[in-house]
Amino acid sequence: MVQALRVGGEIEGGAGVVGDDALFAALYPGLRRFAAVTGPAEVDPDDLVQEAVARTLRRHQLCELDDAAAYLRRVIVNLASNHRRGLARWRAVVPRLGRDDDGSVPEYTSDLADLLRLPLQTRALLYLVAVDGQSYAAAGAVVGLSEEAARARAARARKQLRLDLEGEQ
Amino acid sequence: MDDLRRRMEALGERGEPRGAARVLAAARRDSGGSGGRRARLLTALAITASVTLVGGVAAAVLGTNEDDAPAHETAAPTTPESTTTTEPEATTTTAAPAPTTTEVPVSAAVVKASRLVQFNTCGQYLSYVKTKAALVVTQFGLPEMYPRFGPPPPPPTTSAPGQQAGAAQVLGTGSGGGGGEFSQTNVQEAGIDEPDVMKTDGRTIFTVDSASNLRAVAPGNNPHVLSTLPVPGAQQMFLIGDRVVILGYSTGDGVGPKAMIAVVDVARPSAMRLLSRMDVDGYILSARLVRGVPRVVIQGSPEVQWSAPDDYQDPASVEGARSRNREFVARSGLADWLPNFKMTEGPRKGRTGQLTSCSAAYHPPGFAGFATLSVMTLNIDDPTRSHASSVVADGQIVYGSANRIYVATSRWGEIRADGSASPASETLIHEFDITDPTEAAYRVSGKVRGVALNQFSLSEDDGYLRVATSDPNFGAESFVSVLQDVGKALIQVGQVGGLGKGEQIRSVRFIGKTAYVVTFRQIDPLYVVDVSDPRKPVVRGELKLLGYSAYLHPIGDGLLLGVGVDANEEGRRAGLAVNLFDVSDPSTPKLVQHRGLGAGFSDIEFDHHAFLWWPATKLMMVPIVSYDAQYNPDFVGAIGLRIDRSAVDEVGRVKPPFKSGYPAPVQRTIVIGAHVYSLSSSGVMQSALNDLHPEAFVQY
Repeated sequence: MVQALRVGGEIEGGAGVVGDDALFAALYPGLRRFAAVTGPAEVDPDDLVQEAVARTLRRHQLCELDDAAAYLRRVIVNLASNHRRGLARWRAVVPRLGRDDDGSVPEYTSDLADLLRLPLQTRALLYLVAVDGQSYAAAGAVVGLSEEAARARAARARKQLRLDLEGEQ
Repeated sequence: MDDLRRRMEALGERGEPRGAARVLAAARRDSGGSGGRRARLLTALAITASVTLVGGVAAAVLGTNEDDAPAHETAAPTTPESTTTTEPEATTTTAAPAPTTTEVPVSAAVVKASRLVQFNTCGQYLSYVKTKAALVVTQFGLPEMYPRFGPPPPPPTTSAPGQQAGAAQVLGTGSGGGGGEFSQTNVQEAGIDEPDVMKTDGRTIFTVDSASNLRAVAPGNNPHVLSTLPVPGAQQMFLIGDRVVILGYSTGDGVGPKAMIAVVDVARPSAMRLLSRMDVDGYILSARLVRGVPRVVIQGSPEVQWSAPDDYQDPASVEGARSRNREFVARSGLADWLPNFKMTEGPRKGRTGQLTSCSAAYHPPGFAGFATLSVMTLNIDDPTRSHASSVVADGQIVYGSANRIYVATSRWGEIRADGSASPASETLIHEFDITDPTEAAYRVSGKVRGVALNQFSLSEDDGYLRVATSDPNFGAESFVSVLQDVGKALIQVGQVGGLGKGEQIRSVRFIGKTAYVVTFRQIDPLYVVDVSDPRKPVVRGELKLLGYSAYLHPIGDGLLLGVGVDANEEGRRAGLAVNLFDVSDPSTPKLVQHRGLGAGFSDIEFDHHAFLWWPATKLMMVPIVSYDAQYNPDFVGAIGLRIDRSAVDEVGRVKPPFKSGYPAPVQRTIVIGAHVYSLSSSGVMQSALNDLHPEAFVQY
């Protein structure tokens, strides 16, 4: 994807944080959409992107990365998983505060609800393949699956979505 | 496959984008402010805690098939066409309907419930925070991030609309290299400057880039960089005569984030000199420059290294961490809770101290968290002699008028003896008097129902504070409330509610005695609210169209400019758009011009400083990053539009050279004489004011 985002010109070395600005501006829309699809429904996509970038910047400048888009997507997937687990921890803390809301997933009454019921790795996989047009090998690498496993996971998810759709109809 | 792609794309649009620049700035702050385990844990807790609400809000906004429909039906909203100037038939005007006006009596109970309580001694302060902390400390430390309303802490940028039509874009005159009139930062109130990344006095352009370099650039026939001064952590600045005050963050020692305030001598722009640099616990929420005095609002958190369980599943590990944190609270001292400062450069380098005295600290009657909100009056000659007033509360929005600074904060419920709390959708507003150039004195507090969007949600006029809020609970509803400082409290004296049922405010602009409020879920009602009678604000008119305006700017002659987004009939974003409204008749606001700018984002949606309106030539500059169907950037730069009641015409485009092989988004544009200067990460582009053709480029 980084190649696709190089709009004329080659990447120069040593671009530093100024280069990071330009690179991130180019990557941001795609990363945000990926975060919106992958992240738990309660998490604001920008929060997820922000946290992914913050964690990355503690170790690297974005321009240093061979494929910043893929790297950040992997971080987003991992963070999304952490948040899903974190929500469970939050629910354990909430009763001590006597709150009514327990951080449960808000209801999506639209056709997006089917998608949101899929595991987040599967959502990420489907997005990369169906929207981004990536190969199963590349998409699988982002979510930590082999090409075969990614293909099988996507096929099962599509089948499930079809069944959900038929059920709704 | 198509259906899956469609659904994926729809899901990918959820939430309101904050923009690349803002997200990156916040990420940089997060990455540099406080690394390590504690930061990670707090971040996880904070996001986990806050997402409940954010998600709910996002669902409310984007759940386009939700059951509860907007309160007021529109007859026939029409999708505005893209990239063309259209006639105004795409709108429907309806008569002013359901909103209800409430006149609120002032009672002693209301006054008591609103007023901040002053700590008389440091012992009182310490006792207060330790008592509250002991009630709620967990195995992760303080659950200081209860689910809260409002936006996340913004980078130290602020946004605000002005009081007078076109007056907020202050004009100046210069006689130096640039020559002629020049524009200044687009601010909310004329004469109340706000920090930004680009400033000019007409003779020199000063910029702060993301690599924290302060640059002085000579405009004119041979634009060039005069000098560059690295100021680590620099994010924004004020230009005060021959001084630049830089605001940013520091990566210095300590647990929590550090704000950084530096003063630079720019009397000779070719030889800028760092005079002083100060680190302060916390981060800069916003700042204002009033009558040459910088007022910096700093949000600080307790400087504590909390314990955390090594194994979340192990009860003994969890209890051990909880016990250690309780012990810490019991043993903690003043320095652990109150913000401190340290001079890191200048003649007083090494000097440390407490930012605020205990007697200048307050707490709200209801518990509002452990953060400390400080209004610092900066002494630029000797920052150690600055004065700060502090409130033990969280702050999110800062609004400044000529004589007051208001800090709005979410209000949490009182913590009970059993440790429970009950959040309510309310906005607490703290008023500080800044008529004294040496200090900001706390005056009164007030509260209104609902959540304010940004600084544009607040406006002061004739001693009355007007506030536009949305209550996201129970189907959502928006209000315009009027508050009055009655000496002991900021009391709500009038209110009109029922705006945008099921929707939330997307932008607000107060102009004189009128408020323009845009709410949105699927369509964009623009409400015209008459606040000339503070006790009986009323909705005079309403206009509905698809999409919404994220920023409103009065351009005079009864015209209101809106920069925002087009949306389809399901409420999904369809691109960037510029709308021109005729609001000369409050009862029948009209859309007189619409121009779609295609798929993309503009920083104006999130930061009004990116907006430039040059009245002399009716030129509006719109920084934009637009994308093709594959989400690849197809134009990155700025578009100049000539705005007129009869037409919106493109004047030209500014496209900065690439930086390191990537397009460089335009961050700011200013006018000096017959030139437009556009700041991007690659440098400053000089273009002709009349048609924006490129004249020169100053490479960074």
